[in-house]
Amino acid sequence: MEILQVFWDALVALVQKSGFCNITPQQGLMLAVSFLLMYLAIVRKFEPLLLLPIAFGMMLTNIPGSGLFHPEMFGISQDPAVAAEFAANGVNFGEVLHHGGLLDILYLGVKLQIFPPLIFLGIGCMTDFGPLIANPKSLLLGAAAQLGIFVTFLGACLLSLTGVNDIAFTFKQAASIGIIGGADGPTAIFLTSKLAPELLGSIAVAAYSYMALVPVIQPPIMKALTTKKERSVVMGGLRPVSKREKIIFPVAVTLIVAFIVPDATPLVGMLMLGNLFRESGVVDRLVKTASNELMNIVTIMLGTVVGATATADNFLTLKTIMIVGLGLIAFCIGTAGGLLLGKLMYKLSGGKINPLIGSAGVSAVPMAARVSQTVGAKENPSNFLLMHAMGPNVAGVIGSAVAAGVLLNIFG
Amino acid sequence: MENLLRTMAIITEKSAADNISGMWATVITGIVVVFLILAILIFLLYIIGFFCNLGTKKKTDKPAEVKQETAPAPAPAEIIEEDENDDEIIAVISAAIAAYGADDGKNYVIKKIKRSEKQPRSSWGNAGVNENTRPF
Repeated sequence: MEILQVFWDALVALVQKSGFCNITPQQGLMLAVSFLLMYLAIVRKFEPLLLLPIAFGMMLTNIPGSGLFHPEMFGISQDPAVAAEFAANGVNFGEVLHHGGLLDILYLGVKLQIFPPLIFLGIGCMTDFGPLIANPKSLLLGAAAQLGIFVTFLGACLLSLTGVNDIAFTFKQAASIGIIGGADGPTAIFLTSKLAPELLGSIAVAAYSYMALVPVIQPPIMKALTTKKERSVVMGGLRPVSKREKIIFPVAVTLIVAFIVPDATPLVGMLMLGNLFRESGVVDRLVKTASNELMNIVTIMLGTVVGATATADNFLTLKTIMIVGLGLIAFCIGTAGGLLLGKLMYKLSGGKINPLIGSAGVSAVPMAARVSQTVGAKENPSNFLLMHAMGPNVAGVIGSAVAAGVLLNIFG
Repeated sequence: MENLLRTMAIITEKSAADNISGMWATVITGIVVVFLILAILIFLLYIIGFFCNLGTKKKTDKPAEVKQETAPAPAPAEIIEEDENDDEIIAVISAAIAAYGADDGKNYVIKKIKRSEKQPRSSWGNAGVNENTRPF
């Protein structure tokens, strides 16, 4: 009988410690959100490379008692007292290493700003800046499309003027929300992990969801802001770019950007290092590693830990809904900014530039460029805008990294 | 520039409710700096392009009018125009037209080969560009 009693007690203790007995309604809701994101990633193919690990990380962190991730170790909390204490003391690395879970340790890669620059290294290895070098004016379109970042920052700031505490954002939070308009996931994570880690989960989910929705969000804006005549413009061929130019480009860009906005150096520097690997043609092994294995490994870790920051306390707030709304506004204004400058360039060039390539300035490489191509081809099936749109598209990557550097410089 | 940004001295933990001028200053500074840096890069790219292409001579092929007879045909039934003196291309086009004519027993004379004004790129050209840009 005694054995049975011990067995029963052990069974009761096991059940009492199980997630079934300890789950809160909020955690249950978060698990449902993670399932929804998994569905979007697997079935609807919404940026699956990152959304899937993000969704799974979100699920892991909301399993009661799993202890995989401790947001309080990194000051990730909506409670201003916790955030203030963290701001004063910083990360206690000893505690993280001794008592942290798997995701706590992996999160160090985000907190120490290792993962986003490594992703940029891989992107640099995969990016051909030739269209941009051939048509340097594309950089202006990449700059105009960053308008969404700053207008959304403004919008988030204005919410705090309403006096409603639940939707009031600090400058740091507003800057992190604004960067969604850069349509560049690693940049958004890079900036948010520094300025507003408590919003990292919401911002990453919003950023990647909208990036996946670029083909849905952009075309109506493109059609609304351009005329049929403008959309039909056939652009001439790009000049050939010499290897020497392609090699000088990453070095020159790094020097210029790093000297003016040093805070943008981790992103721009690694992007350009990857590109130099690619264009130099002498380190094929490094190019293959950086653009494949390394990038894939970092993507897995980055996505999972970013998802893990979306705990019920941090995610299920009115602020998340506001972030989703502001993120959409950021994308729309960024697209409009690029298009409007494109229209101006169309006028100034005497109708030689198709304004549709302006919308590609919102980064989201290469999705936004593909959208420009698709919308242009609908007006004239033989029109081929893709390579022209790749110029503003990669310029947008540089532009959003610079914008992040500026915001980091001001608020960091 | 870094010092300029730092001297804005925005109390970062505050919100716009505490510092409206800081909000506007951030927006204006951000937009100006992004445009400024990218404008400098444009200037730089033109300089790099200028020096790198200094020694390169532009090849200008004079458009030549080419007459070629694929077969001793009595009736010139098709005229295609040409702007490039490329024997291989002419040979390919001639062969294609000859093959086309062989079906209905007619012979054609090619008087001119010129790129079509209406369609800037042929279907074959589009297919080629698609193939080369597939990674994007």
